[in-house]
Amino acid sequence: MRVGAFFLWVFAFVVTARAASPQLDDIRPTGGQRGSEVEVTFTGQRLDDARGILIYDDGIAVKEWGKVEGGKVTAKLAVSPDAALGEHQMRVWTASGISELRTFWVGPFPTLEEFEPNNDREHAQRIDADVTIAGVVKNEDSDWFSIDAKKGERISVEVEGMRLGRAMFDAMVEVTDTAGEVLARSDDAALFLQDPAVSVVAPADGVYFVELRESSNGGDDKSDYRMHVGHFSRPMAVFPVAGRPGEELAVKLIDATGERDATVRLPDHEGLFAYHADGIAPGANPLRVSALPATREVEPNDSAAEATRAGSEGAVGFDGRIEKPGDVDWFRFTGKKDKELDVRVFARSLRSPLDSVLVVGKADGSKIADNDDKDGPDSVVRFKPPADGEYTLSIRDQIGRGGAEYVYRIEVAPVAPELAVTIPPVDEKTQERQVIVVPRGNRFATIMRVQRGDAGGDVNMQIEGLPAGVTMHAEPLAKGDLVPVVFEAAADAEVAAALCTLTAKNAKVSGAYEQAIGLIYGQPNNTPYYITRARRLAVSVAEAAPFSLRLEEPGAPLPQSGAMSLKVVAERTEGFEGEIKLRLLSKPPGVGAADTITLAIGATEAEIPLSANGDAKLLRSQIAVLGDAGSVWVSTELVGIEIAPPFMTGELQFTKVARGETAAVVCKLKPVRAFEGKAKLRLMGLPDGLSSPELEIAADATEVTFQVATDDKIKGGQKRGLFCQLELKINGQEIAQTLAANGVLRIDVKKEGK
Amino acid sequence: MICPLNTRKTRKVGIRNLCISRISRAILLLLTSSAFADEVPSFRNDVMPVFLRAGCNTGGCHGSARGQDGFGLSLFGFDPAGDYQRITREMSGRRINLAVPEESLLLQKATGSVPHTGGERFKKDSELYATILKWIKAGAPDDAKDVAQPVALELSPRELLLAGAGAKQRLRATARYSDGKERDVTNLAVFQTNNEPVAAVSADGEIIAGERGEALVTARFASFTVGAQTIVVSQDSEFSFPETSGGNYIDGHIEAKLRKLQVAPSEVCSDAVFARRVYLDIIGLLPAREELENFVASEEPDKRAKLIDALLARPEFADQWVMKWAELLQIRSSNEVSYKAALRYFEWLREKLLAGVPFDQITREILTATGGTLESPAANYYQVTTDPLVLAENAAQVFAGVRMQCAQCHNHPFDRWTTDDYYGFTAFFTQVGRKKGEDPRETIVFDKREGEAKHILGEKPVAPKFLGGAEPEVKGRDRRAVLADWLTSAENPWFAKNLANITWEHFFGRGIVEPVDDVRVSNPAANPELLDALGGKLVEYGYDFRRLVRDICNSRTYQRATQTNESNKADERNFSHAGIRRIRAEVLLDCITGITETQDKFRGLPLGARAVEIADGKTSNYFLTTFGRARRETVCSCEVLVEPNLSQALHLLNGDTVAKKVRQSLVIKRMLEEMRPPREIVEELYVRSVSRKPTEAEIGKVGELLEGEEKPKAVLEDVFWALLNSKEFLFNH
Repeated sequence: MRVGAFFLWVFAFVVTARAASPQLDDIRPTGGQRGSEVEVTFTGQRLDDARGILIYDDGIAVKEWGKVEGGKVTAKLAVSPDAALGEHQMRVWTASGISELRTFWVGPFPTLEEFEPNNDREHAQRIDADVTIAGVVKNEDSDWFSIDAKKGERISVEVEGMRLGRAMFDAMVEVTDTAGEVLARSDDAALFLQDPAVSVVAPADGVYFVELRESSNGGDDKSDYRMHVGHFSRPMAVFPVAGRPGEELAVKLIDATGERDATVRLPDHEGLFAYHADGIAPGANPLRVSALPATREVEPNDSAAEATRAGSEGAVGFDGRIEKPGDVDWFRFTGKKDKELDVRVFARSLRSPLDSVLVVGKADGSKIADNDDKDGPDSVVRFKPPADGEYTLSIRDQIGRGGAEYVYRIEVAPVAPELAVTIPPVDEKTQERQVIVVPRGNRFATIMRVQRGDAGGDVNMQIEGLPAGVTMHAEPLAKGDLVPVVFEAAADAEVAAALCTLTAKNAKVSGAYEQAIGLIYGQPNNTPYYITRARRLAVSVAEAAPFSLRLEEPGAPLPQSGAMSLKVVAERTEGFEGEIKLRLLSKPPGVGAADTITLAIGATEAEIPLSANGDAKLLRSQIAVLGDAGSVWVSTELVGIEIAPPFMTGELQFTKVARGETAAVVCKLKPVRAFEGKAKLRLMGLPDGLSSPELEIAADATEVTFQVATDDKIKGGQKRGLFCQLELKINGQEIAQTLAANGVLRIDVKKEGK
Repeated sequence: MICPLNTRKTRKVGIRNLCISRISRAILLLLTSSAFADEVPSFRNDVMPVFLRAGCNTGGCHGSARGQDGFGLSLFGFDPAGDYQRITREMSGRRINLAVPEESLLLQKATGSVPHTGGERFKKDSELYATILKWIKAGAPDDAKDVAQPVALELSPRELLLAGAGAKQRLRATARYSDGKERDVTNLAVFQTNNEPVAAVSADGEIIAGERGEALVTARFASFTVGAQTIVVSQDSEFSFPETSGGNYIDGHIEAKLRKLQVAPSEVCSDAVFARRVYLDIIGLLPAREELENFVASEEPDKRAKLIDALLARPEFADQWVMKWAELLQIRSSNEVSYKAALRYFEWLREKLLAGVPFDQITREILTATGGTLESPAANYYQVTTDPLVLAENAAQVFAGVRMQCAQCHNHPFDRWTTDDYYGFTAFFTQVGRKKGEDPRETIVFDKREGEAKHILGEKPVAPKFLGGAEPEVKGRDRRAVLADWLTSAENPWFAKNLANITWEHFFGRGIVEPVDDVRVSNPAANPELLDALGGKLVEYGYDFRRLVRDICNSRTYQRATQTNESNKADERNFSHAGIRRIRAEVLLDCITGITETQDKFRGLPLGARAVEIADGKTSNYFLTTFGRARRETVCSCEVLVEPNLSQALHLLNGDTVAKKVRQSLVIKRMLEEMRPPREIVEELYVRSVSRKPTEAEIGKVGELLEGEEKPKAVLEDVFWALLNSKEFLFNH
């Protein structure tokens, strides 16, 4: 017996291990130069059945597939000369799943390794201009580099540290001259969050030093960085910061040399555009592309009287900057009576240092509404003009700062519906179940969250680019924000993976899928420090799973204050006996269930008990059950479940009884919903030692009496918390419902001698 | 005889006694009009002082927050309206009996004629009794809204010099009122002494001299406390003050006081002692052998002044003060302040002090700090605590040396502060806005331009009011800037003196007001003239406290020896001799590390950095904690512990700091390799540790140990260890 069990265990282990989802810990090197080929190692676990790399953006392709062994995959990546600079998202996919998303950074310059010792000025590593240094800041480490510059040349430094998504590494950079004088220092750049960027003009021909360290003298073996150093222009801001689709936008670039003119060809679609100055600045200056007509501020516009007037009636985009500390900019626009407007500031969302405070006012400047931080630090005011006419708005920095880089765009536009869709994280810190892996001939389910911005009505989920043989099933979402979605792979689907375009649509608008993926978490309270955003959903067909699951449709609705069980049937492939953990994909509002139910070794059926609150919402919803055996996940199909009103309500009458006698506990009943035949009614909550025989009642019963016999041993006093439980079976489904809560039975004890 | 200040007609009597029968009312009217003329005691100005004088409203009695035996009064009478309500309305008819005033429980309890936990507070024939009786007889009326308020209390004389035990002098307390009138309140004031053996004081203000010394006798009336400085000298001693020469204004003030006290100061200390003292005090390090010997050998007449200047120019000088201010500003990582923010805050302070930015400007930058706690590090001042009450208390304590805490709930019992003062000062901090920055570790501090202080009594908003000063116009301004303007102005009564006192304390181990952050009427400066002078100098120097340090160190007072004479051996507060001060934790560790030529490693600092450079109050090690490094959890000057204790002694003897450092040290090994004779090595160890050469007796003892020893290193290490365990090393003297 023991031997048999042992073999069973080993066999079960082998079956699950074969189909385990891959884990990707790191990509090395952390980046490469555009127009080059880079030998890249993907390190992680369970990568032995790797089939390929999913790369989100154009410009990088797998040129040669290398070795796959020992938790490592190597591949030669070809980075095309026109690949976008900056972050590129990737995943490894295998025959059994898809890994986490990790990033690889493309830069404009050749990459060179840092070499130690370079911990002080004397040991500074000599570098040429326009290189990218790949290095590590170990604990309390400081990395020094020296570079030549001619008088008037820029010395620009930009670091990818935290943004590499490898470690909680908050870098800072200092540029000094030969005499040790600090020319520039950067810890956090508004443009790049915790990553520093600095640019100075060399005051004389000579050698200059760049020191990079952790800003609190920390660091560790994982504190990787890529530091771009050279004479390139590193604009800290671009003005204006917005333009129209397809426009040749004339802009000022604000960099170390002051301001210079440039022209930017904006893309043809609205949204964010990552502009790399001269095609070389490693990090982008984000620009907003918007079809609204633009009006640029005209100084002085420091008061309502001097407000810059919109160049056109109706919706408008204002471009300006808070040029000096304490500056306030005023604008004037028109509104129509009761046509609600959104006034939005785009500043920090475009990486401007401005921390806006927005005030919307009447024509004379008197305040109607204001806002500081509704959208991150950016301000948003929604208001309904009380009459046709002119209105004003003013913008300032919350702490009174200002300067050439304090650029902003303010858009005044009618309230418009917006949709977006994402998969709510199962676990904040990991990327668990954010990809769709469907075993061949099986199903996988997920919950999607639809973010509705003024967009009501039915929302449909649509997907493009699924691997062959995969289908997606979701019912239209009429209300609320959560949709259960099931993916199904045909039995003959090939093992494959794809990045799919997912959209949520209602009658008026469609919204894209966006998954915020925290790559770095830190104090306090595991807050995300660096988030990358995936805009396509990774879906794969994996090799067949050793089991599939079926959820039986409940024979009847679940009543409020009721309980019933869902039946799940597992079909195991021969030889697979392992445990399967079952969990509901989602719970209807007001319905409770255990987080997980375990289907024991070899078992094929399980029940998932559900219970509904008295105020559970009366609606029909779709549920599915997910099951996992180790890291193989499958789901049942979607099954409808309905929450219905209770069968009856009731009230237990206060009852008193002398100890040793039999109490007659009366329960008044009020039928609510009919049922056929008889149901059992029990009196529950009696103190230990007391019981009452169950009764049989019909749907129209209005009163019952429970006989409760007491004996001389029972303790006297008031017994609270009595209630009734109704039990019946409909279409083979056992249902229980509680009613008549808070009943009281008083047991009187006669005192001796009285 | 109490002279009721407030004359009031008895018209309310009839109204209050409507329930009394016509006859009894007629009798009552007759009584009041005949026996008490037409003067009715004021509740606030006549009755309440009785409660204070008789001790009814103290914390141990009815002034306790929960009252006592069912009857509560506001502590020291901070809430007269509430007290009136409790006496006349609460448990109606119980506490006062308008029909038969003599049977009022208030009087019966106070005179002990019915059982009273507090016993007899005054007698039936006392004026206190008469006042209350008269008030009740008048119908226990409340005061008119415009009743005159006491605005000041004066005590005369303010300074007393009593010769010989048994000498007596009477104090007179006079209250001044808002209507300009004055009144002798000697019989209503509460008199206390802080030094009974020197000067005892009777309930009616008579001081009786005891032993030689000084004492402060205080009188309290209404919300005021004032003190009279009392010096008692021997009646028949033949005291003559020693001849002195040189010195500076500091010595003038110190010696003037010593003359009054008939205390002769100690001699000026030796050059070697001075060098060790001034090195430790100014730069927190011991003099190197060469430095010490050069200084002692120098024959320049102004060599001490030159050494002081040389030390003041060293960056280690600033490090000492960065550490001290980091303690007062509570620079420490916590849930609210990230390590990075704490580090930025410390670096910011260090840059300011190294650059010699005057302290008024630093204070202004701290108080008006705006922006992100990482980008504008001074803004962390508003993250150490976010409670405006605590912010106000801390600002008062750190920048003015005043502890306001008591006045949050009641008028300060031993000082001038009322709840109005407290909430008025708090109002400077109620408009500090905070929001999360983009970096999760950062908080943005800004002026939110709204938010009021709410008074504890009635929650009514209180306008900003300077400590003991005016209610300024704050409209349209950041209130914190208004506060900073006032605090750092040359006329400010607190700021410069407080900074001067903090500076002084560093060099003497004791403030002129001690503790330095407890300036209060009942805790007067040991030498107010000196404190005024130092504060004035600091203003004159543009708040460059380096110049004040120069004055202090150049004074004869600072340079006096620790050895005392017959007249000053008991002096602990008049700086007639130098104090023996245990070296504070960080400096001690740095000294041990320095003379053993070893290295320490602290978080975020390179190997070999000094303990005084540690940025974060939370960073410590066993040695520093044991020797009382400030945890920087409060603004209290008491955070730094310099009292020796057993665990310190045990750690030095058995712990691994000293033993390990002596073992690791290459000093002895190097000298042995240089073939230097053991005597010379011993001498070197002495000079390094205690800044002097060993005496012949000491050399002799060590010589005995070394005699015939084949491995002198072990013996020499023992000597080194013993020196580092000696009191002479552990103390600055």
